[in-house]
Amino acid sequence: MPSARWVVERHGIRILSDRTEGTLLEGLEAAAWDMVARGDSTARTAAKLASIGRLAIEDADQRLRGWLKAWRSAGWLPREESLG
Amino acid sequence: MMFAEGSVFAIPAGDRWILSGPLQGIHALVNRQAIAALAANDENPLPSALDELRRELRAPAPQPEIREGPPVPQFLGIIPTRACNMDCRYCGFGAADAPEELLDAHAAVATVDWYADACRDAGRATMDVRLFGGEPFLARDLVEVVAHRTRIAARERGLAVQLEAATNGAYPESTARFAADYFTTLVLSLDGPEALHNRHRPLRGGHGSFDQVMRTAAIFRDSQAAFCVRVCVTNGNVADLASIADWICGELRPDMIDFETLHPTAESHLAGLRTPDPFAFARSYRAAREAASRWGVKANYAAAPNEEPRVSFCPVGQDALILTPDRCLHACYLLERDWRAVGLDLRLGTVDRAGEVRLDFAAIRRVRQLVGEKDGCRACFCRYWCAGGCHVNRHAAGPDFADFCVQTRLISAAVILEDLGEVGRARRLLDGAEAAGFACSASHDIANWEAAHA
Repeated sequence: MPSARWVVERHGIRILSDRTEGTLLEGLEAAAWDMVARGDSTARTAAKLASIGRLAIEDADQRLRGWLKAWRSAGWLPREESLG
Repeated sequence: MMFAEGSVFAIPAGDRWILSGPLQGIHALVNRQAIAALAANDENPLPSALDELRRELRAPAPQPEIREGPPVPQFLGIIPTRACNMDCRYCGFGAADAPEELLDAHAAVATVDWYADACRDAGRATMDVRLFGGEPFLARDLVEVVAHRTRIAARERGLAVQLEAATNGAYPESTARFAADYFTTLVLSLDGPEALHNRHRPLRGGHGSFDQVMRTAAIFRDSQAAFCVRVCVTNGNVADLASIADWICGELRPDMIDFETLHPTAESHLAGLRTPDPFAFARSYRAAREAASRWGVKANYAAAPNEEPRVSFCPVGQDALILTPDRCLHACYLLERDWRAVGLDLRLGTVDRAGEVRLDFAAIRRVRQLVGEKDGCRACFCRYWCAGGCHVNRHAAGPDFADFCVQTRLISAAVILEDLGEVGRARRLLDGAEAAGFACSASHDIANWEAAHA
C-alpha cells in the first residue's frame, strides 16, 4: 500500500505533500496509481490499463513497471512493496 | 391572439380552479369566472392581475419537440452485467435468471470514445455516462475501466464528466469507496428501515442486505457525489412514506429521495407485493414530500412537474444509447424481452467485435416518433412533465395504466397547489371523495373552454 497520502480530483490523482501543493498524476498514470493504491496486483492492474489505454498487455505492463519504479523513487510507495 | 390548443389547462380544485400553463411554467389558482373571462376569445379588458396572467399565458414559449437531425445521445448508458447479488421480491430486471455475462471491456471503451467524440462534435460541455444493472458494481473491474476511460476521454476533448450509477449498495466497503471517489451521482436503492428493507430486498440466500447497504449509504453520504435514495413503493409500505422519508433524512441526509411505485412482475406477485393504490400513494407521497422538506431534502416522483417541459419521461426518444452486455445499443434499459413482448423494437444499433459503433438511423427515427404516439395525453395537464410515462409499461399495462395516470394527476395538482402556498387545499384535494372526483374528471383545455361550456 502507498506510503503517500492521495486524493481523487477532477483531473486526476493528487499525491499530497506537507510542504508543497503535491503532485497531480493524470490520465493512465492516475488510473494505475488508483488501482495499485487500492491493492490490485500488477497483473490485474496491467490488464485493466490495457483496456483503458487500448494498449497491448505487454505495453501496459511495461508502462506500469516504469511508473512503479518512479513512485518508489519518489517515496510514494515503500521500496519493499511487492505486487503479485 | 388566442391560447394555443393543448397549452393552457384548467383543473378543478375544490371551489377554485388551477390554471396551468406548463410551457410557460405558470400556475395560478383562480375562480370559474376568471377561467371563463380568460378563455373568451376576445381582447376585452380584464382586472389588471388577470390581464397580466392572460398576457403571460399567451406569450410564445418553446415547445418540446420530437428530435430531428443527427443523433446526439442525451446520455450513454452502460449495463456492465444483468446479474445481481440480491433477490429483490419485486425485481423487474430478470436478475434471478440473468446470465453471468459481462460486457466486454473493449466494446465499453470503444463506445465511451465514440460518445466523447459525439459530445465534442455537437458542442456539448459534458459527457453524461450512467451505469445500470443488474448490479453494475458486481463487474467492478469493468466499472473501473469505464470510469477511468470516461475521465481520460473527457479530458482529451475538454469536456466535463457526469458519471452516475444506480446501485444496490450490497458490496465490500472498498467498492463503495471507489464509487464515492469517482461517481458524481449515486442512486442507491433503500426501501426504508431494517425490517422493511430486508423484506423487500434480501440478498441471494435470504439474508438481509440492510447492514451492508447502510454502510455503503454512509460512505455515499460523506462523499462529494450527489446522493439519491430510491424507494420502491408497494402495497406493503405505501402507508408509511412520511416516516420512511423522515428516517432516511435523519440517518443519511441525501440530496434527494426518489419514490417510484412497483411495476408488477412474476416475482412481486409470488411475494404478495402489489402496486399501491394510486390514491393512497398520492396522499402518502405528499406527506413524505413535506417530511423530507423539513430536512431540506427534495422528494421526487419522476412523473411530477419538473423544470423543463419534455416529450419523453425517460431515455426513449432522446437518442440515449444503452450499451448492453451483448454489445447492443438500446433506447431503454429494460430487458429486450419485455419491450419485444409489447411489440416495441427499441434496438438502435450494435458495437461490433472490432469496436465500431454501428447505429441504425431508421430505428432512431422510428423510436423518436414513438414519443409522439400518446393521443390519450393531449388533453391532460400533465402532458409536458409526465409525457405519458414509461413507453414499455404503458403498452404492457393497457387500461390498468389508468392507475399511473390517477396518481400522477393527483400528485401534480398537489405539487402545484403547495407551490402556490395552498397546502390545506392540496391536502383536501388528495383526501377521500374530492380525490376520487378529481381523478375522474378531465383537464379542461382553455382553448376549447367556450365550446365545451357554452
